[in-house]
Amino acid sequence: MFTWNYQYISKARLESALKQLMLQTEKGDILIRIHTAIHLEDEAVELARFIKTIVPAAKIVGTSTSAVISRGKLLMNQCIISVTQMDGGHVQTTIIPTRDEDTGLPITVDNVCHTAQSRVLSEDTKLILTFLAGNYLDIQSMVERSNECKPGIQMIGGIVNASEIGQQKECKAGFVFDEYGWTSSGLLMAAIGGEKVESFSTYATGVQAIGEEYEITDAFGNCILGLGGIDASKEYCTGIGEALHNRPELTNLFPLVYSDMPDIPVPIRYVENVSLAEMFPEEDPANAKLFAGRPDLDKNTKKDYIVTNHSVTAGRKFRRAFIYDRKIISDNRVMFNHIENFEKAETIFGYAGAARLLIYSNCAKWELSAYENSNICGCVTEGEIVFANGRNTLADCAFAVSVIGEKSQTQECNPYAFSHTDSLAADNQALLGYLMEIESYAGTGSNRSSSMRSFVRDCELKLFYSENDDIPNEAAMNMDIKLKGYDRICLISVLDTSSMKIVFDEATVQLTRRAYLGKCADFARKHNYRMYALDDWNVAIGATSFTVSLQKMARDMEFLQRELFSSSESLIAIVPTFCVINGCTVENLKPVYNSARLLMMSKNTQFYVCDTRSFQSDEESIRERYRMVNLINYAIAHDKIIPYYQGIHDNATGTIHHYESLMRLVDEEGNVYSPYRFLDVARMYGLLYDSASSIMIHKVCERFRNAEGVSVSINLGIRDIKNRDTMEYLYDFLSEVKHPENFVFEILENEDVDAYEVIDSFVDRIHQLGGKISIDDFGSGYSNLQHVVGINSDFLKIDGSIIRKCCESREAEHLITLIMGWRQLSNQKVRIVAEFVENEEIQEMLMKYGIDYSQGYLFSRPTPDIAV
Amino acid sequence: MAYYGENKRTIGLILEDISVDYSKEIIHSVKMAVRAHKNMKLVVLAGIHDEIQKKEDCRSCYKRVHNSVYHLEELLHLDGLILTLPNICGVSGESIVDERYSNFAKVPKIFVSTDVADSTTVRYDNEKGLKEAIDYLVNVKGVTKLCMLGGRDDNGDAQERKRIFINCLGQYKLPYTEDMYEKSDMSIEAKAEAERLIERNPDTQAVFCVNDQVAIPLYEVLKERGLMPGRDVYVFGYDNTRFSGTMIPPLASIGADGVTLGQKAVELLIAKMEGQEVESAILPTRLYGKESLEYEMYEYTTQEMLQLDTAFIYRMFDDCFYRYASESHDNDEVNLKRLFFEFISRMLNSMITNSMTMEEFMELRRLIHIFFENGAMRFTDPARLVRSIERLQNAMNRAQKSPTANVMNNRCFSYMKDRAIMAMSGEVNAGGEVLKKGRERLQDFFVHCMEFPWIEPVTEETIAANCDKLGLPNIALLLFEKPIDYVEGKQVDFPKTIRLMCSVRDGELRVLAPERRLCQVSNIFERTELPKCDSFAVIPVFYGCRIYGLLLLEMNEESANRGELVADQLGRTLRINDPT
Repeated sequence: MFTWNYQYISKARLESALKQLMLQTEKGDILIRIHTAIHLEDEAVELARFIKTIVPAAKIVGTSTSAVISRGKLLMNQCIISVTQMDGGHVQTTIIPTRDEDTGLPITVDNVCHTAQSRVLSEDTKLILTFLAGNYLDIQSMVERSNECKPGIQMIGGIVNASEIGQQKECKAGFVFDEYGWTSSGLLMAAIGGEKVESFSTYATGVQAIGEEYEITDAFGNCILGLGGIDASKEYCTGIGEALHNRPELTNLFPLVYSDMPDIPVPIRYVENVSLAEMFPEEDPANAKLFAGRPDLDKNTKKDYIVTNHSVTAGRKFRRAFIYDRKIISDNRVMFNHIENFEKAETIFGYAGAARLLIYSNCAKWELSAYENSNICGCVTEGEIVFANGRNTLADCAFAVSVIGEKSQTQECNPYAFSHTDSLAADNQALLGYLMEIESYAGTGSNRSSSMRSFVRDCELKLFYSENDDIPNEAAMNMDIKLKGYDRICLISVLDTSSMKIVFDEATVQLTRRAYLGKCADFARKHNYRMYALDDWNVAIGATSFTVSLQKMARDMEFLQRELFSSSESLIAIVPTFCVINGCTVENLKPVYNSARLLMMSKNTQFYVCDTRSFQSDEESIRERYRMVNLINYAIAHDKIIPYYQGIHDNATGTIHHYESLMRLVDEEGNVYSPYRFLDVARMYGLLYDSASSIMIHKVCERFRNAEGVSVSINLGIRDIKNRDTMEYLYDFLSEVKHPENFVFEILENEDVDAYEVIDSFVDRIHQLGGKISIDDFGSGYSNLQHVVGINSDFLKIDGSIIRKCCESREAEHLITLIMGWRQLSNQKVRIVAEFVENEEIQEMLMKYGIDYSQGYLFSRPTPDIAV
Repeated sequence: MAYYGENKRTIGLILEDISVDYSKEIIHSVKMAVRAHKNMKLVVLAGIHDEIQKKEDCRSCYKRVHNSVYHLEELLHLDGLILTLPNICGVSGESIVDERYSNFAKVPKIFVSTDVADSTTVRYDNEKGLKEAIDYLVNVKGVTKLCMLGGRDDNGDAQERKRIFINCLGQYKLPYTEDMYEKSDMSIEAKAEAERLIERNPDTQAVFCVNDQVAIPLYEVLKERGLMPGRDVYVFGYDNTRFSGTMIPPLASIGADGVTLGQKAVELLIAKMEGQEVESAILPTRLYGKESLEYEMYEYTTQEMLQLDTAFIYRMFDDCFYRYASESHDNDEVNLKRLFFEFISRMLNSMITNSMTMEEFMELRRLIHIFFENGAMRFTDPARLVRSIERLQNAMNRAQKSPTANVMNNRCFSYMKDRAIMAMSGEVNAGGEVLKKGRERLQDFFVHCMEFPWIEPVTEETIAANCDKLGLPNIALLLFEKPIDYVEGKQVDFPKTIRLMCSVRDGELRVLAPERRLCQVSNIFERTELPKCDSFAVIPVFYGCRIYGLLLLEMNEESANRGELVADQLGRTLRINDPT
């Protein structure tokens, strides 16, 4: 057996493709499946006929659909043609009408089964692809009956649809077809059989049944009237809550299941305020017959009903259920295991429920992605026929897969896809959101029936607890934060657990982990905290701000941390880091934790207490930041970066020795800004700094290009020195200019300590070209003295904070003595500059110590206008 | 190219006496308001109330030396000032400010309860609360004779309150004669005045006290005559201070309706420091009813109680814990309001579901326990609480259908009442205990600073090394290089430098090496060795006319009560061992 899948593009393309296949009728039958989301009824038949002309021996079946499945993807608005060449196997196809043309009555199950048996079944039939078009209430019994007629024959398929996903009110728009025609009330079957053919069918739903059983006590057609003796719609509603009235889609989250098949959801629709007569128009002879059978019923009163897609019979038992991500994941893993291990995996058929796409769209994509590289082909259907525990049954909201083959073959699947479960969590939000809503009613004391309470409790037990450890999970934490005022959260994580696994065996790691979780859980229980297991090694402990003060919580957490550190010898020593966050919301917890983690890492602390407010900039500073960004942008664009110059006074001659250039920005109103206002912002937006700084450097250089007998100093940050364009400009400039010795470059030493090499080569280069170097802000920050001394600089500028204080503080004075002494001792030619010289007192002190140059308000203020 | 960002800003609070309740109230609210701002520090310069007329007794001299601390302001580089010096107003306001506090003018400043022309002031709307009280007394209680125990003539607020009092009586056509008024010094020493007032007006039905303090002697006088405040004579005070709730019976008092003086002052000061134009503020007041004058702040009906309306529970909390709303709260602490809501709503919820499980009951008890453990009683008095919750309890008893739930709810209520009364008595006991401990420690300090001929002589070093025995957990001792002498009539010339001798951080003493001590007075709050707190009180350390230095204390209730005493003891010890 071999299967090719084609996307239909045009007849011509299809023709050439099919011809290339060189299909061999003599080898075995050829099955051609068409699932189309783009053709109308007659066009579809036309397409089938066209294929028949190319491959006359083909057995063609076709269905309409809302989306096709191909290569592990869901594709809207496409038509997929799947060609299966059998190796000795055979295929029988047929379309069986489900409605008597003459009487308009549905054909009985017996008749349909009989026809099917005679037309398609043979002794060695293994799998029947079955598609129903139109309303056939007896579909469930039909499928059930098939189990009796021919036990063990698997079925796959479903009720076809055609409409867009979402508009699935009624499925009558769907049709099935072959080369002879189409019908919207018929059953399409394709039986695959053969001696060597083996097939395996399975499914995944993600449904979890909970609570007790309800017996159907009354039913009419596909309408459930009574559950456990009471009105079915009311009973169903009490479990889920009144919100159902406004949000009918909730029925998909909380389906019912037959208690004998607890993982197969029965599609339920909640219809409001209708009468039976409206739902079952008596013009339809089938309905007339139904009513005739139940004269006791009140046809005309309008009320709420729950309806399904097949006839229900009194006596069967239902249970409540709900769908959630963890069950979906585990169901899919089991299913995938089976499929991967099936020996004769030559072809995979896959059919997914439309309801699944509606409520769990990410999930549908996720579960398909595992089959990405296989030849899976199928489509979306309304209800699926699945093979469960040896019996075929009608399901809803399921993902059904059949794998079939005649000889050994493996399909390439992608099990790694299963590890990306994040998107599923998003799907779960709808459910979580609804449960939270219910919880929040509880707070306001609205009256809730106990049945609903227990139902919700059961859902929560599944949803809000971690898989293996019975500890509340992240979803539970979010709910507590949101609804119960848990706004003090301590996040505990253990670093480097992956390296643990390299050295220790899995059992020891697990033992350690359990001991760790156990200690946290014990502690939380004893001290009235809530504990949450976020993932393997990450734990959160929560408290409400109205029961525990931050101080107490921090103290308790410190105690817990010590407790965790003191582990026994049999366990691996772990280093849990604790971060207590005050004032959490669901939104800010993660970002604040991330920033806190960075901080903890840089400070190498394992315990940290922070407030969410301190991590959020206040509005004023954000506004100011953007104002500065705008200002810088404006200045760059409008040539408003203005160099100011401040004279540097030669203490020996009493004249100006050189000028320091200082950057100023001017805004639209002519206000002048000095760098302390904008420099931090500019650095934060690195490119802004680069542009502004580059403009500044160009302007100053050009102004002094031809100047004689006057020098200027230019400030350079590490960022500038690392900037290739700026450096190239400077090197070129110095080599052209007549007096390169007039240019002094002031390097800010305290910015970045790992750039020594870059600085050294820059300094050498400048000296080579005849320029001069000055070390700026010497003595501020923690500059590496050894390195600074090593730079062969021409000037050394003592940091302003030292000069300012030199008359008041002896320490500052000592520092000046130290610097001057060092110069003398080392016989360096370096000249010393003092900035921030604000008064005579300071200047006198500086003169006393023999400082070469002074700069400051005492002498001059920075100005844009100097005579050069 | 060095740029300096903004440093931590320091706000000074200058007031007269940190140990009186009125000041504590202001300090507390200013402190909490300052804490809400980043990069802000509070320095309290605490003087002592000093009459304008200079007297020559010891007490007055002591006060004058002590008040030299005001002049530190010029050295401290404060960014803003809040002044509350009620006695300087009224008489000749501005001139006094000019003369005594000339330097205060340099920085942005706000005056609290102090009328000074041409400056920004914050004060209470004296009229609103007082009118509310008199309206209630006359219209509901049918009172026809009211008296007033008034304040000093030099106190503007006191004078205004008297005027409004007379006006209100006039509006109701009630008689007023000067006999019905008696002025006092506004302190607890006004017993003689209270005595005179009651003597003249034995038939008075209600007495308005110009502030809460004078109600204490009034209570004594009434009790001596066998009159019970609240039952026989209605009494109400002003300022709604904390201790008004601890009096027996708790004293009804007029206080801020919402924003307090301190909060508003900080708000205005910050705006002013940022260069904005600010206008003087008058804060609304209201009557806080307590047992000495029962008054419902909110009308609520039984029906309302049982409907589990969120707003209602919060309102009930505000009523029960009448001090809570006017105080700002640290968000590190237990949110009592929310906690109250939690257990009350759960108790009420049991009425709707007609059931309460044992677990739920235990949880409720736990929550109530936490509620009181975290100082709920600081915000009310037991009588008020018991009365309020009894109303709720009675209503619930009538409406409860499930007997089990009812029993449990009643047990919760009685637990609350027990806790309320226990908390109060516990506080009294604990207060005594603290006092005893403090005394023991102080004695320990004395012993260690005694001089004996055969051991090393006591020096500054010895004193610095024993500062942890003073019994205050967060302090720093700063001494001038040479003691300075106060000369009567001359402004004290503080030196510009000072030595930080030692600091005690959370009870842990650190004596600084001699070479590290010296610093500028202006920079003392930048020293990293200081205790880590965002508000300090500065108290001079002196003995007689000799000023040795300053004591910095973390500003809290305890340092307000004991700080001055500790500073005095330090001064005394230094003087005894002073070689000069």
